[in-house]
Amino acid sequence: MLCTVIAIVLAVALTAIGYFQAAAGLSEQADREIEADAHLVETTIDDWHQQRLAALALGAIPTAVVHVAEGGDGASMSDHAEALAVLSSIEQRNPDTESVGVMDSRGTFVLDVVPGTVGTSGKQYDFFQQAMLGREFISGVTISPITHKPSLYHSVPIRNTADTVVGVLRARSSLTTLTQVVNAAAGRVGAGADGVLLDAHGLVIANTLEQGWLMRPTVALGVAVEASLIEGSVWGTSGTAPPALADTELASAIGVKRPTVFGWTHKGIAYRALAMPLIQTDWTYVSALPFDTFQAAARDLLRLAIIAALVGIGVAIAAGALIARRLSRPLLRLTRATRLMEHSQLSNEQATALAETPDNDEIAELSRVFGRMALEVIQREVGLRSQVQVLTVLIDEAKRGKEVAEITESEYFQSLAQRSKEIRARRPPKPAA
Amino acid sequence: MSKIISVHSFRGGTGKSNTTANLAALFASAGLRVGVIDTDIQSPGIHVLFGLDADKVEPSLNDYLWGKCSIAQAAHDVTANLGVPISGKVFLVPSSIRAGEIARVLREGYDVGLLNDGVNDLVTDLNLDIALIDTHPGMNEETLLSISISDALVIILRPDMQDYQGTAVTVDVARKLEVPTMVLMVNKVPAVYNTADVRARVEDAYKCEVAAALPHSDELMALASSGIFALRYPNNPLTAGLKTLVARLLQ
Repeated sequence: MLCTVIAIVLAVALTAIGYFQAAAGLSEQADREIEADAHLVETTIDDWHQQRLAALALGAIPTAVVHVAEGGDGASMSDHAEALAVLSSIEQRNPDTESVGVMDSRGTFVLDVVPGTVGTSGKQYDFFQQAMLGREFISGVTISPITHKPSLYHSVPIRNTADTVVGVLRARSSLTTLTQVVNAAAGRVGAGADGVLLDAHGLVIANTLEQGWLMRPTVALGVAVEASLIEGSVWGTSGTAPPALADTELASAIGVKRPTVFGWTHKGIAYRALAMPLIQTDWTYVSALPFDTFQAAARDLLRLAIIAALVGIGVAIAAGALIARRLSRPLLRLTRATRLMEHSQLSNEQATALAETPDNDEIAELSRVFGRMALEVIQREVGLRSQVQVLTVLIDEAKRGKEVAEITESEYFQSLAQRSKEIRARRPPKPAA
Repeated sequence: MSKIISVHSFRGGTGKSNTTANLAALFASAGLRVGVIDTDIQSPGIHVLFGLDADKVEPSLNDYLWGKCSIAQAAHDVTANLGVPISGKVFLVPSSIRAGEIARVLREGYDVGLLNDGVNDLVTDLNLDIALIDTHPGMNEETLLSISISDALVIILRPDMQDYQGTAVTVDVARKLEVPTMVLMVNKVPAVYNTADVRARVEDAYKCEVAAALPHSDELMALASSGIFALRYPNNPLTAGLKTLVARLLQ
């Protein structure tokens, strides 16, 4: 019984330890996998931005482009043609690019692969203002007033030979590739794996969970921020911000500076998530994997461990019973025999059986010794009982008669025998009390 | 009528003195006045069972036999030494334990007729109901006299080859002295024997009633004559056997 209890306790304890260690190990493994996946997405998106900026930076170098930026309509026909060729080349070599244009220093589009853009002003946009300051710029995602779809802008300064910023080379791109990159993460590291791309304000740029999340803030924006974004036509010309997702857990990923693990629940599914900051922008990519997915292995292990533990306990019980039976049975037999011996009730057959106990263990040896001793006692008792009968018979009657005669034929005895009657007869009566 | 009972055995070591002392205690427990005379002058010992110190064993029977005192003066009231409240009385006339006096007896002998007178006087002087004579083992003039003056004789034997022959002689001699009551007591019967069977076989062998067959007792051995067994172990089977003997002797 004690061994069984110990076996059960050990089995439960070891199974629990094994499960928790397995679970912890699987969590660590999941973290590594979702981090690797998030890093992959982050790298791809950053490269995508870098490629566009690099293409624009190259496109801003040719003299024709500089002349067009400086002169606008005053630039030569050959400069216009050469510059347009450069812009077209950029457009064709970079997927998702919808428009590439040159802006003069006043913010007016003086050349663009989309003719309708020429002559429009873009001086209010940050892609113009930042580039004019000499910076390469990546905008946030906004609803394009041209396509009315989510777009983003890349821009670089155009410098003349005096290294003076004379204009801006700007490209507008769709989110097709970015969306494809995020969508490709769905289920990649495990069943139910999802991804969400957030901009610096927590607006959803792309995600694998809900189509209706595009451009919606994860949590309500501050009044000033919202007003600024509305003014910047982030959500197009609607003039209003879409309702927030009110997902505070997801919102914890906004603006992280380093990879950060957090727990996230969406539609009842608990995720282990990792927020990965992008390098080229202030965006964050969230890679998430359901607990059930990476814990399934731990649960399988637990199931197997429980089965193994139950089998082990069963074996331990059986072994314990067998051993106890092997040990206790001979002991019980010996104890019974000692009790019978104590009350002189142990039979010759029982003692003989004990004396012939097989096996070589200590209990068997003890049984054999006791059996032999018991046999000796029993046989001695039997012998003694038979001797009583013999002893009562062994009286030498002839000798008896002779010895009696020697005494009774003496003078003293003869006299005593005569007097004994007189002595008894003369005894005074007992005085009254 | 007072009764004189001799307790005798052919050989020593049969438990004669122990039996005599226990019989005396049981008689006294029944309210009787009992006198015990230790006539085993050569090897006295019954005084130990009654808690009589060696330096208090005087005057003794020896003093009476040499005319130094009356028998009643040699009688010691040992009732209080029994250790339990007793409704009767026990008086002990011990034999001297002084080596010189024992040697004198062996050398000079004594008038055995005085023993007879002494027992009678003791009965009269102390108003005894029972006088128990603890005899010396074997057949000699003193033991023959004790048997001849006794109303009842208890011959003790052990289930031992050394006892059977001599007991047969004693039984025959006692019959010729016409002792009114003679019973055997088989003592120290080993536990492996059936006492009832032993009793029947001894009765058949001697054609004499066996009043009791007492089992060997480790408790008696352990008591080592430091007290009266029947008073110390009133519920012991050995005590029950002694009570049976007492009842038989009182018939």
